[in-house]
Amino acid sequence: MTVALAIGVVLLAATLYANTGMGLASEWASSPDASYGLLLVTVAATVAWKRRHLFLLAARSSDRKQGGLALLVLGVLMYLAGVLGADVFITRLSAVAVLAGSLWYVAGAGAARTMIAPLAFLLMAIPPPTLVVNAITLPLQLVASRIAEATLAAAAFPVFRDGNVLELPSTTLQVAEACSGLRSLVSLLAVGTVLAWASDRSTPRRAAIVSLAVPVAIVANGIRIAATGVACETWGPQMASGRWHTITGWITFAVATFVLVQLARVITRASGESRTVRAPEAVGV
Amino acid sequence: MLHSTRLRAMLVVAATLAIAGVAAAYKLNRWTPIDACLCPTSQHADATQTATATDVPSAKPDWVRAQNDHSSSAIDGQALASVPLGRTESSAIGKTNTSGRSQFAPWGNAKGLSRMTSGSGSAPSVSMGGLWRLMALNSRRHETSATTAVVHTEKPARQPSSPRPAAPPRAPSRPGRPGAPPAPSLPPTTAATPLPTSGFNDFNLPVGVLAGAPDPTSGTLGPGGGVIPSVGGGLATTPEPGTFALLGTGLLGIAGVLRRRRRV
Repeated sequence: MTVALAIGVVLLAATLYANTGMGLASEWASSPDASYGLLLVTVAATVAWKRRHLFLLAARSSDRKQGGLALLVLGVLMYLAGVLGADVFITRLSAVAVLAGSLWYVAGAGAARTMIAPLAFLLMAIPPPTLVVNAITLPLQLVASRIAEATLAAAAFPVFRDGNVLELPSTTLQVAEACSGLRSLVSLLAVGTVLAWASDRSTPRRAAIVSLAVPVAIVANGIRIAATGVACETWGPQMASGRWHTITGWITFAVATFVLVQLARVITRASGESRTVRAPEAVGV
Repeated sequence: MLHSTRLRAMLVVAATLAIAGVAAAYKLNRWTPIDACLCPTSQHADATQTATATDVPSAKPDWVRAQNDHSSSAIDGQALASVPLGRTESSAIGKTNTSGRSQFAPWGNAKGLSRMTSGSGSAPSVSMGGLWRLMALNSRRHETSATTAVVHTEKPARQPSSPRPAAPPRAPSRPGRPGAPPAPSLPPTTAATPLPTSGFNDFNLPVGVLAGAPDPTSGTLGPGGGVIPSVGGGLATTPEPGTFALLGTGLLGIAGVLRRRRRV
């Protein structure tokens, strides 16, 4: 009876969010700005599967559930507002709220707490709304241009910046919208979230690790643009495009991830506590 | 006890989801956005209302129908269209229908005419004259479009199935029907004749260009007939790789770090 009802609830939710899910999957598959969602959903599913025993164990004890009903109703209201107002972002957010509220109401607060990390990954997998993207893209472009200008000037390369355009002796680099660093910022935020969840237990330290992803990503993007300028001046303007350029982006992001891991290690070492079994060098041995 | 509690919770969740689905489906099928056409031409408003009423006869609630009812609306659009720019519309707005329940009036019901020149956000003010002037231009465009549609949809002459007596030759200019209003003297339009331009037709910039797409009129013709946009002189962009590749790289790095920690 319980299993049949659970299957019915899942089918009902799937019917309700069929269009939303298909639109989200289509955006993940087609947009380079949102394709990280596929990986985050995979990570969320993996983490949820690994924690299923904890979830079932916590679900055996009946505890506070009224908050779950409130969250469920809130999610349903968000769904209606999103559908009737044609707001895709709110509709997508409501899916996570309905899922969290249902888990909380059916299984209890303790069981829902074991699924916070997968729910957070699902929440991050939703692409930010265009309003937010448009609002932060231009400031990111200008900040990246300034960092690249300062780096090139420090490396004794003559450069003139006009807004988001960098004039070099051999070429002119434009920090376009796709170069604003938003992709690396979103990706590094996701990496930071996974890293914080996997390497620390304290909520403030986790928040600190996730917050550090923002400056690291912005500075790394500026240095990436500066490196492109240096490569153009050294080997020619063809270095600003093609395979070399893609490899530069990867290398820069790998370096940014390394820096973030080291910063997380410093934070964990300073607190003297870690959730996982740490390497000797991580605890200063 | 726990089992029954869980069953009850599942039923509540299912009922909530079902209510949400039914409400969304009902509203999406029954609710249509309010016709936001601000064209003050009564002819166009009637056409819109007729089409809406034909499509969904009983779909709209009373308040929506009241908003679409421009024919009995408080504002006479033609009178407002003739108001010159910069003139206060207090005389025109003053024709508020005060009988019975409150009718729809754009920018709120002007209960106190003293507010009309106060410059508050919800009350019409002197600057509305420019908006009404724009709407008058738009109405002229609607009139011209309607005339063209009549010319286009004129049916071809049917071939008679049986021989009929020859009809008397018709006069080239048909007199108007008795009781019908005289036809407006509009310039003759044909299918090949371009529409007379109003104030809105002077700018023919494609929307794609406005939205930031490359101008299709510039560049060279490609092999498939497409247009290859011309590259700006020496301007190189520096785009990032896709987020899938970036996050994949980061997750691989984190997985390596965690694995190494656990092994040690």
